[in-house]
Amino acid sequence: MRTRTILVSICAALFLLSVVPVFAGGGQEGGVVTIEFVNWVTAEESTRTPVDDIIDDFESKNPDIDVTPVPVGFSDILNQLTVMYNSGDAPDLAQAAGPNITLLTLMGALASADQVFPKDFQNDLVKSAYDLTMVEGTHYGIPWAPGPDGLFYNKDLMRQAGLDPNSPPETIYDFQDQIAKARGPLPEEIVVFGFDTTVRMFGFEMTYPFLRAFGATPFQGDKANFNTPEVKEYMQWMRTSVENKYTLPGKKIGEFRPIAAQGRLAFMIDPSFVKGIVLSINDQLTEEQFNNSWGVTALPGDKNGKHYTYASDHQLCVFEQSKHKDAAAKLAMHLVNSDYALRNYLLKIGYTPATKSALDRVPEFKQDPILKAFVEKVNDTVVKIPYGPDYANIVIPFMAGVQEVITTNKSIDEVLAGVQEQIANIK
Amino acid sequence: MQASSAKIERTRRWRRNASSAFTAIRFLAPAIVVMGVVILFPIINAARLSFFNYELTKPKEIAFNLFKNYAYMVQDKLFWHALKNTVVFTSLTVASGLILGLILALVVYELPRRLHGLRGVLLVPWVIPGIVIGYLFMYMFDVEIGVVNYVFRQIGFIKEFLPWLMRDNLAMIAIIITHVWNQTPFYMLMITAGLMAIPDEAREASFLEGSNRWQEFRFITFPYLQQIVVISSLLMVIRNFNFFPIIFTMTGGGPAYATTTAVLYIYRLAFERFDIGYASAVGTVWVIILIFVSAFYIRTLKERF
Repeated sequence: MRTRTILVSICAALFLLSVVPVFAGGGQEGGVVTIEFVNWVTAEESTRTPVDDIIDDFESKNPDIDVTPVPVGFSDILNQLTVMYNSGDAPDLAQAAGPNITLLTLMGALASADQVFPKDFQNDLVKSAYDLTMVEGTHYGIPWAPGPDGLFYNKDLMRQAGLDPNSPPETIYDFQDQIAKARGPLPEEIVVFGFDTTVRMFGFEMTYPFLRAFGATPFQGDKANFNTPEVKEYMQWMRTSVENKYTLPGKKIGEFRPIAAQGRLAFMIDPSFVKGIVLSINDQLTEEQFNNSWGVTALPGDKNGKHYTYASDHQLCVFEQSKHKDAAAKLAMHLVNSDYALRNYLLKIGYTPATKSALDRVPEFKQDPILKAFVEKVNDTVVKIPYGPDYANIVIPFMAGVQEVITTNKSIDEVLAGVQEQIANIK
Repeated sequence: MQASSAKIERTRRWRRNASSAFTAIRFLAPAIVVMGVVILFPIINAARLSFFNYELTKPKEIAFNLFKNYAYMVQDKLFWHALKNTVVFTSLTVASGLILGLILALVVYELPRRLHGLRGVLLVPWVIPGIVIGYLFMYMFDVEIGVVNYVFRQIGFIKEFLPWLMRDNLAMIAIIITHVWNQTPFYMLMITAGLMAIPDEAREASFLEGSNRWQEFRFITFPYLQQIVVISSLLMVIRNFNFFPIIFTMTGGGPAYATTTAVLYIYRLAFERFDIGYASAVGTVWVIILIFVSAFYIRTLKERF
């Protein structure tokens, strides 16, 4: 009898413990709202502290909002958000990039920007960056840290390789020529250029402007065709680049940044914020030294000199399931446009701001030579990748094909035919 | 009178049986409930989803499609490729791990007593989590900074650094080496337990009969170890069929699909392509294969013990 009483008491206690938080209002304690912010910036060493500081600043100015950052690796964020949303446990706010906003919108996960952000704030956003969050005519997110890819060239290594640092490559053919010329004179430990050849959607984002430079236009309406002479030319170039040790195969773009920080990378394809990352990796390197060593230009263009780039903007999106959309939007606006965030994060790391008013409020943005080069040469070359529901089904087989080309001796024709067959067989 | 006492006895026996059955149910119930919720429900749900066209990026097109996912699987070259990779990975890791584990166990068993603590040191790879091992070996096999290339070049095995994780045939070898390093201590532990159970008299008698070291191993030691070898290998076959962390961290299934095993393929389908229906179909087939392997394992266990 006594045992039964104890058991019943334990069960009742466990039941109460599990039920009490539910009735407490999902994270609301004494009027304080708790919001969850899934992001990769607090997972990365170089950005964790400044972003945590912005969150602290936000919490001190909004004592009724408590922010819980949830760090998730960049490569895992889409699948983590997918799992969270589909299990009914979506966060309030999340960081996104590339196809994330499109794919999450297609799943029905996101609240539209009109639903959560005031009109005057939306009008202040840089239009080209804001429109990258548009799906079927509606914005589902906001830009946080715009970051189109530019071509960084190490002037010291160019000189060492016998190249003219005042004449960086203009077209893809100039680029091919310069990297081939640089390999010989440069020591073995120098990597000529960094390129992301991983089998992931982000790998394709980096590849896309180069495909365009070779004249390839793989997306035509609803169809995708990679079995073309232009794509073959691109594949041949990748194979040659690996065979001749111009680049390292299978690396993520982030893995080339420490190499750049050690002064062992001649050409780097990255957004403007890479400066902040490189400086955070090598604390012996000063900003002045970086600015003197590295120049920036647009990515190598096509034979007519037309340049293309992909914008790996960091974006923010509010989830439809969020019970605290207003608080989430408030945090998003603070991250994007508060003076504190602009000075202590965006400027410090090396992003261009996402709002037009920021340039007037923080004039230092206009003085940074790297940011200046991005504004003058890179930002206008952004092309939007046509994301859609089959995007992953198309680009993952293609990137696997790229890896097949650079890691085997299989004929490129055979690889491309295989890629096309997989794309044709999408259910 | 006799009939009545028999009836009473039957009733007593029935009550005793009922009481012990009830006790057994009470003890098993929590485990069965937890297993049902955590394991059985997801399996049944995955099997149900496998009959649907269920792509997360196309929520409007979710519909029942009977066996279409299974029909697609039959002609899906990547599925068969992943299956082949799984068989290659499993057979090579189990065979190599077993042989090395056997050798290690025999060597350590013969060492003087004061060196038996070495067993503890040799067990370290077994207790390190797969993800940590994956990252550790990923850097060791790195084409640029990897210690493997450095050592091989120093001793003259290679002339230039090899892209271990970025060459289709080398990547599988690198993963197998890593996994064997991780699981060999398990075999060593199991076989050592077997060695300790061999009666000293049997071995001594064999030497007295004039056996040399090899004959003693062949005709005395190994037959004693046979059961342990079979059981531990089968256990590892099941484990390696499902193995994920080391492959995922070291190569992510690449280069291209060179190290994509079935579980990795399921992961890619579900979390890269968001095709939950097809991923569930492949997962269901995988569960069926594993049920067969497990049934064989349990049968062997029953027959031999």
